[in-house]
Amino acid sequence: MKPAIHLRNVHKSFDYRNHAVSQLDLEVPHGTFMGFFGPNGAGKTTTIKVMLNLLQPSGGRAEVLGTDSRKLGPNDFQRIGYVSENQELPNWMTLRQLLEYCRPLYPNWDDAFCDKLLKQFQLPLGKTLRSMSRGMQMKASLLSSLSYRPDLVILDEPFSGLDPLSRDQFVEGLLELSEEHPFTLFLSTHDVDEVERLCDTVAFIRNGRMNLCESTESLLNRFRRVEASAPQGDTTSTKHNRNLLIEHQGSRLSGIDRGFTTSAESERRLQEMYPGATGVLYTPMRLREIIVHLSEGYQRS
Amino acid sequence: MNRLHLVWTHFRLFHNLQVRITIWPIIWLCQFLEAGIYYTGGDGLALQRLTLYPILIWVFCNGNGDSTRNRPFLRTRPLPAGTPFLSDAMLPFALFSLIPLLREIPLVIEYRLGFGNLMWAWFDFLALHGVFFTCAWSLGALLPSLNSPLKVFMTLFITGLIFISLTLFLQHTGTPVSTSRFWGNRHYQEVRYPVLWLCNAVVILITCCACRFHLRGRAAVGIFFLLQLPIATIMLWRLPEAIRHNLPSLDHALATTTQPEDQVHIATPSYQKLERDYTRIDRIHHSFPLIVESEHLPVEEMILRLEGYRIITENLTRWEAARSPDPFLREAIQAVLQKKYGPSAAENDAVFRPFPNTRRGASITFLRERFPQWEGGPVEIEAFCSLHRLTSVFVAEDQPLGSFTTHAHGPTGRVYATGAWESHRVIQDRDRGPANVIHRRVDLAFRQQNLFWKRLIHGRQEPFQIMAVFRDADTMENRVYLQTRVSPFQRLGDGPFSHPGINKLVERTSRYHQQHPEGERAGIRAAESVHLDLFVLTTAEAMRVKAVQYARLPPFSSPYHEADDPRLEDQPMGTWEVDLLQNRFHTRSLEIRTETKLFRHLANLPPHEYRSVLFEATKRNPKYAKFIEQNGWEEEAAAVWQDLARQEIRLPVSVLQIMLRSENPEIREALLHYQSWNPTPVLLAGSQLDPAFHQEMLAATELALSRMPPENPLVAPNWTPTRIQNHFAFTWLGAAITDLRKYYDRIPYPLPYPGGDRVLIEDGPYDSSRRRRILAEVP
Repeated sequence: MKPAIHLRNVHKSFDYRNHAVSQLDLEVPHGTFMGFFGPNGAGKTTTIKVMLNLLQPSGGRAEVLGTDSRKLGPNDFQRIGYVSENQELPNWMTLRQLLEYCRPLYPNWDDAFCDKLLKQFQLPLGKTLRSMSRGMQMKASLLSSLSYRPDLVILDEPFSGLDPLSRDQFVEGLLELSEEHPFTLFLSTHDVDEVERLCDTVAFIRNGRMNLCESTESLLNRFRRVEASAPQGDTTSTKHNRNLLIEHQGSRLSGIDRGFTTSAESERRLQEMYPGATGVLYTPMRLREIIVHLSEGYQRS
Repeated sequence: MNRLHLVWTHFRLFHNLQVRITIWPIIWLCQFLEAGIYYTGGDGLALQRLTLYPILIWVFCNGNGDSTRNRPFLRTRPLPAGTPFLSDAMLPFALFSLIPLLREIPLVIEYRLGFGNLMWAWFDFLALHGVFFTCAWSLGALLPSLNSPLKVFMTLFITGLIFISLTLFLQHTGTPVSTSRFWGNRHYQEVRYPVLWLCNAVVILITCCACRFHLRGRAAVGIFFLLQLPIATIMLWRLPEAIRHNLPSLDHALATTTQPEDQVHIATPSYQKLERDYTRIDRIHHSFPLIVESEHLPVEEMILRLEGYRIITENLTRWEAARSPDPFLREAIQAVLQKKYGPSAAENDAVFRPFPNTRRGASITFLRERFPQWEGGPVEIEAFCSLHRLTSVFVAEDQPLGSFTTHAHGPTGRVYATGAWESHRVIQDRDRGPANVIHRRVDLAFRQQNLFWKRLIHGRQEPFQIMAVFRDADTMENRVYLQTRVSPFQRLGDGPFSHPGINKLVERTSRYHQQHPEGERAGIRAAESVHLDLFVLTTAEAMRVKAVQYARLPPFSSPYHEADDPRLEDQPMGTWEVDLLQNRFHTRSLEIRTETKLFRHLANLPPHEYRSVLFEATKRNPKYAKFIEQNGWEEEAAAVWQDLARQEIRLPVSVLQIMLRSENPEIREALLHYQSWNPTPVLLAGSQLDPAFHQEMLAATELALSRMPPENPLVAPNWTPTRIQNHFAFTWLGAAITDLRKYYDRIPYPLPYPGGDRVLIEDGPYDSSRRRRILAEVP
């Protein structure tokens, strides 16, 4: 079965110097919830636009739901839901008009589910989009994109500017859909906590290049914070392990193990670097810490 | 339906409120105003174009930046293909086209054109304007998004270009502003459809490029191609004739360096606002008032070719432009004109559209530079026109067009620059009652027929308009008049002619030329068979001709205008009809000149010769008696009346009245002879005159009867004049009732019995058997 999203060597440049995306490979299997991270200007939105045929790739090939992105047609868009932070909604419409307009476009439109989401989001039907707050507009956009039970939902910075309650409602809407209808989520965001709640896969892009693409579980299992007592005498490490980043802080050793498998194995590697280290303590890391750590690491490199 | 609903919703929801509250009210207002102008007879074309301009701007903006295609919200929605194009360009187009369609419906009903014609005209309208709407949208889509303030200027500039090209295109190719005009402009169609197709090809390219760049909207190309279907159909249909038609024009263009000038003003008639200061000749213009008296004229457009004109001033040598239908002589005339007055002196065509919306007038401007010798002073201009093209046939083949009772006029304008103008003459038969137009195509493949038809069309080699009609479907007394489009050397197919009149014409012409000695030595090859488009006017009783007219030199005065008498029977006969008569005389081997010279001389036929021709013609066709009366030649025509009476031909009432009025004993005798075999019309004619004359006529009848030998079988010996009068009068009454029966179901009673001793009082509808019964009771 083909993956829901498959980018192969995708390249997009707006001029000869500015390469927004280069050599990007990405595969998102069906049913996967993927969080797409990256610093500002990393190329997240460009990648999404290439996937949705809003931009044409300068090179490579992007396949969405098995179709070349450049050939996406109405039948494909009936299976794709797209909500973007920068999306311009028809602000002069009321929510009812918006839903009336969208309804005939989708044969799978589910009125019951739409009503359910409507109640959950607590959106007023008769209010124009212009008069709604930003959070309500995003929810309205999500409502119009989820009510037809898409197979692939692509969200571009959906949480920016949303209050915690709205975020919760937003996430709950997605979870609501996932309970009844399995779908693929591609979430581009800076909000790591929400990704941690939602996503089972994480991708990290920087300067248009993919740096990391791994399942959340694997990532959380692989990263451990390490603390130990430094050995007496010369504490200089004689060996180097690229997965074990340890700093010497007085009598304490503190760092991150990026290749944690078991405590014994990790302690063995630590003993190789710092023989005589005692009191080794491995603490699981949160995804936020991992992402920050990765960002700092990439920034240093 | 869902698709339409979607497009409409798309259009309704995704177009700016500003557009809806600004452009649309303006457009609708202009459209309604234009429709009003259209109905009141004005020319609302400019206003229509003015309406079009903001819409084109809007459509361009839609295609460029404001398109719904450009909204990511919609670009990721599964819109059916072509929805933005339909919403951005086609829906405004449809709304723009709605009123022009609706406004035609009353006219179509009024003129009984048939909705098929309306649909064709509508297709034409759609195809033409669809090109420009698509062009505007595609250009907008093709160009990068224009940012303010560049956007404003670029938008105005580009849409202005489109608008101007559209306007020029329409002006030069004749946009049908009405359904009926669409079918009238055959020549225009031959020009405009190839041009339109060329434009379409360009627009298709642009659209393809736009769709290529903007990814969405390939369906727009398909929709656009669909729009081309009507054009393609018409093009293919008209292509052979268009090629044939344009080849002579091309030859003509190559043969002469003359460039047409803007000399003809096809505008509203301006003779009413003639300038009174005629001190300069270049201010003399609009001097050709043409009036159409009928508003139900099926003639869509007449183009009057200015055969020549003469300028009469004190300081200018009087010059008369000879004219001739002979093409070689005509070339010579043009050469003379060019030599004397510069180029293009003889290239004036006055377009005369007698349709209700522009039913009055053509104007011709005589340019100052043509008259270098003129130094000032009053000027008299007399123009001579021939009907170069008459397009009257907005009718499909074999389809009855409808009924009309009016006439085409072939006017000769004579206007004096001093302000007075003499009205034109009308050379036109009047139809008796409602007439139907049936379009038939006749392929006359026999060389004899070629000869015959070629004579009738005066030997012209180029295609021109002609309409062939017979007068009498029963007698077919060579009453063959032509005035329709004839395309020599053209075969457009043949087939059985179901119409009896056409069959009789063909039989007649074939039989006639088989007997004619000149038929075989005309040297016409069989391949040069002439095809005729016959537009047959049929009535129950008669089929009449529509007019063609050569201006006659010098024109008669036309007293019927002063008398305000609309009856065209009183009009003088036209030269063209005389031509026909002469042609017939010629083919009957009467004393005539050779054919080529014949027509040249007919063009300037002197009055006395014209009179002799008229007399001869009247002997063969009493219809022309009215022309004798018109010219006051009743007394000189005594021989004609005698001849007619001797032939025992039914004479028109007008002739009988002429004879009744005459004091000439020879005419009286002829009248009595006529009365002896057919007295009813005489009495009828007498009854229509004054009572005193009627009494005199009765006395004359009595005298005639008394002088008749008793063995005369026409008169019963025991009949007294009073009885004869009663009988005839009652017969006349019956005829009158029959006539009335045509128009009324109930006849007004009581009717006085002319004999004076009985009064018929009846109620109820007319019953012929009852009338016969009552007639039997008459003593």
